[in-house]
Amino acid sequence: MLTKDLLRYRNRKDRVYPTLVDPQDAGLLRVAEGMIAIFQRHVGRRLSELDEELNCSELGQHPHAAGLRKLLLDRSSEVEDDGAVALRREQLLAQAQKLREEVSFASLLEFQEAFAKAQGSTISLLQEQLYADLPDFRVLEEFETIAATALLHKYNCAQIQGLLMMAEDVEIQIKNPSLEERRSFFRSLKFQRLMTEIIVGEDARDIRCKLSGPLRIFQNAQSYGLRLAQFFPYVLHLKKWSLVAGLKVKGKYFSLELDQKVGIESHYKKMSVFIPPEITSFIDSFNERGGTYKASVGIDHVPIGQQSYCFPDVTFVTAKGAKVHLEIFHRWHAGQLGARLNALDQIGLRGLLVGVAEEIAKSTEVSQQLASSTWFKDCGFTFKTVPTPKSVAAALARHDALT
Amino acid sequence: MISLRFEAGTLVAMPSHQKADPPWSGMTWDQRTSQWRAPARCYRQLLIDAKANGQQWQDEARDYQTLDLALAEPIVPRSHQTEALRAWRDSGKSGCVALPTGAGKTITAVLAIVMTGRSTLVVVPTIDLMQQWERVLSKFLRVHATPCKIGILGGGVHDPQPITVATYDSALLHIERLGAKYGLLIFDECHHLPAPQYQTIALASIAPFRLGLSATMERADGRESVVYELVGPLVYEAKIQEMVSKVLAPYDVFNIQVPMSDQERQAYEMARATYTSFLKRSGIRFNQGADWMQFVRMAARSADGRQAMRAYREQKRLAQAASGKLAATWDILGRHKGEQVIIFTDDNAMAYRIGREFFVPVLTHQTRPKERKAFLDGFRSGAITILATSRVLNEGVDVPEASIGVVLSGTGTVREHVQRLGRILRARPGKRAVLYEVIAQGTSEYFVNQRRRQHDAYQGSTPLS
Repeated sequence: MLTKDLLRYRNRKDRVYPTLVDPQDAGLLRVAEGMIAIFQRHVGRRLSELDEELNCSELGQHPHAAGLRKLLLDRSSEVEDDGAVALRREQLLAQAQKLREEVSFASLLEFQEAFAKAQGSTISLLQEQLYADLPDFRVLEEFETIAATALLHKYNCAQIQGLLMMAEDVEIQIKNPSLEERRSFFRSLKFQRLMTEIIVGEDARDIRCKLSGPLRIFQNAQSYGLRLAQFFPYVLHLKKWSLVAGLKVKGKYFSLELDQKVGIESHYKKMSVFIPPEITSFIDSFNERGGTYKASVGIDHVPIGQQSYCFPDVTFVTAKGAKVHLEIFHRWHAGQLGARLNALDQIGLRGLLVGVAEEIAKSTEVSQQLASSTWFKDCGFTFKTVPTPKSVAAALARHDALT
Repeated sequence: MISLRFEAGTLVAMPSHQKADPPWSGMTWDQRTSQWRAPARCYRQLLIDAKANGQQWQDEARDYQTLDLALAEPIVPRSHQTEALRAWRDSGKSGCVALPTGAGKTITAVLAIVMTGRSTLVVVPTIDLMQQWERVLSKFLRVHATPCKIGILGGGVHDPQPITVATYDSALLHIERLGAKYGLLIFDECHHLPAPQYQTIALASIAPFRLGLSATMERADGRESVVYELVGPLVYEAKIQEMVSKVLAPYDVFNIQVPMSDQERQAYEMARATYTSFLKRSGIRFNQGADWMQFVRMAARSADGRQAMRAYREQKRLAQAASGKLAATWDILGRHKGEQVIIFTDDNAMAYRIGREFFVPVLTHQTRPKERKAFLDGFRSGAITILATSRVLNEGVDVPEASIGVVLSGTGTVREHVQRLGRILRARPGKRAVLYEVIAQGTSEYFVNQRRRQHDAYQGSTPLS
């Protein structure tokens, strides 16, 4: 993403207008191509040389050059330092200190000349060697190339993500989303630990959601900015969407309004989503236990009747390929639990487990739902903060006994 | 009976009914989840109000422990530490303490942890400080008379324990899950807390007991009030001048003006003229704090403006890096041969320039951890006598034996200069510390210097020579 100083936008009245580039603009494509070529040419060379070439060329003077450079740098890695420079530095510094302690020099120049002589070198060469492993001197080892058009799309996305970092609330409307769009959208929301207040029911044709986190309804709500920014590239996969974000910029409030007409292509792969660390931990711990099932992040959707689907968090697979899915419900997704249990009771689905957080299981409404659901008695369980491998293994055993 | 639960940095009431009055006046109806909700930090006030009103809650939020804490070795607090602890205790163990660097903030905090006897989260700005705190807490704390394993959150380590030290960034990442697990929150260098993201750490924790520590609470933007709101009021403050000869070394401040070379002067005047003429044309006078932001905004809008910004940076760079400063620094080093010297600069470029010219170690954020440790250990032992740095030694890192500071460039903030002064004031028998401020003659550095000298830490310093 881009740092604040690299964001380009205008404020007019109470709105913010990001300065987006045209990814098809011939002139800008030439700049992008030129910068990509510079990076490619400098693999195996110093970053300082790369910047020198960039700054001395017309490319480096372009208003968007700094932002493009940042994005290209993010796609680079540096050569691992072998420590030789640091070792030489240690020697030089110790010897310089010894010389200063033993001899009094009237001027800095005298000291430098004496030191260079003692080292059998020139002062300029010694100065060059001393901190030769600084980032500017580090060597570009690898650069993951990118097409110029893709870079410009990513730049536009990064401009908006940078603004969303300052968002206090975001409302997204999706027009008539496909099944795949719905799955990606809700899965990404869940994994970014964003709360969704669904203003129109999720199984209606359009979806309208307010995204935030628990602390949002109080002052200081920018703690979700990073998650909202990380979530945004998923929105770009949707065909028809609109977004309104409330931003706090330098102490003042503005609104950011966008829709699919921004025409930005997402750099996120469609099927990949961020996996929360607690899911990864659970999967690792579960698999360490061994056993019949192997756990992995859920990627399937499971039909649950009435043209409705659920999108499990974890999938368990046996060596023979038999699958059982697990969907996890925390507080901020509890609104969907009732409908889910109703649907599952109706079709008596097997191959799915539901875990419900105790914090919501204890509420009157949810406890009644759980108590009255025969499906849940067979295929559900509660957990404290995250499901434990032990409890899930027990639920799987119960499930297997029924099937 | 209503249950109080911790949920992702907030407190919720169960059951919750919108039509009823909120179970506590500080709660807001959250229609997203149909619950009454409050920020977790309201825990203490909620319980106080409940007790006062005779209201009963089932507390399912608290997940922190009462610990049987003791000291592994005795600590005899100095009078100012005793006064600070007393003031903090008397304010309900919720408040901020401002003590100059070297006056023993960490030990004061150790005593506060033992006094409180609760699971504790210490939040610090850097990994170096995290490691320092971990060492000190391991050394002094015992739980049930056995050594206390200190948890770490940060620098790639995730090991929360009942007593844990975390960087601000890691605490922010995890506080929504861990916010109910600590009864005492300690914010080291708490002047960082008003940053919008970091405030969440204080908001999302139920800890009823809070301690904020800093050498100077003042912020250039005046937002120290946010710290008082989230942690507690300033309950104790000791100034550098008060600490001198008690715990801090006596000191002198000398201001040295150096001429620029003809070339530097010419370039400086040209850049400054470009910058100031833009200011004049744009009607910007820097009478108010917002004028700087106005300049930044206007500079971004036109080619002239961008040129003015470049000119501003260039004249600043020329002033800060004037070659005459090298000769002045060499003279100072000669005057204090064998003493421990820290050379402060405003940016890495100048710090590395000093490093290359004088062949001295340079400590910046680019210095790798292993080398950073080697430099600091060497400086501490006396094997290294001169250290150059940009801003990384401004706060926090324990640099005990420096007696001479040379400021070659810096911001105008009083905070930074008081912190730098603090780096050289740790007391030692017979020690008299000296801070040199080297300023390029006839440049804007003069006015920056004048602003800094308004702080009472600088009273008695020699005027510019």
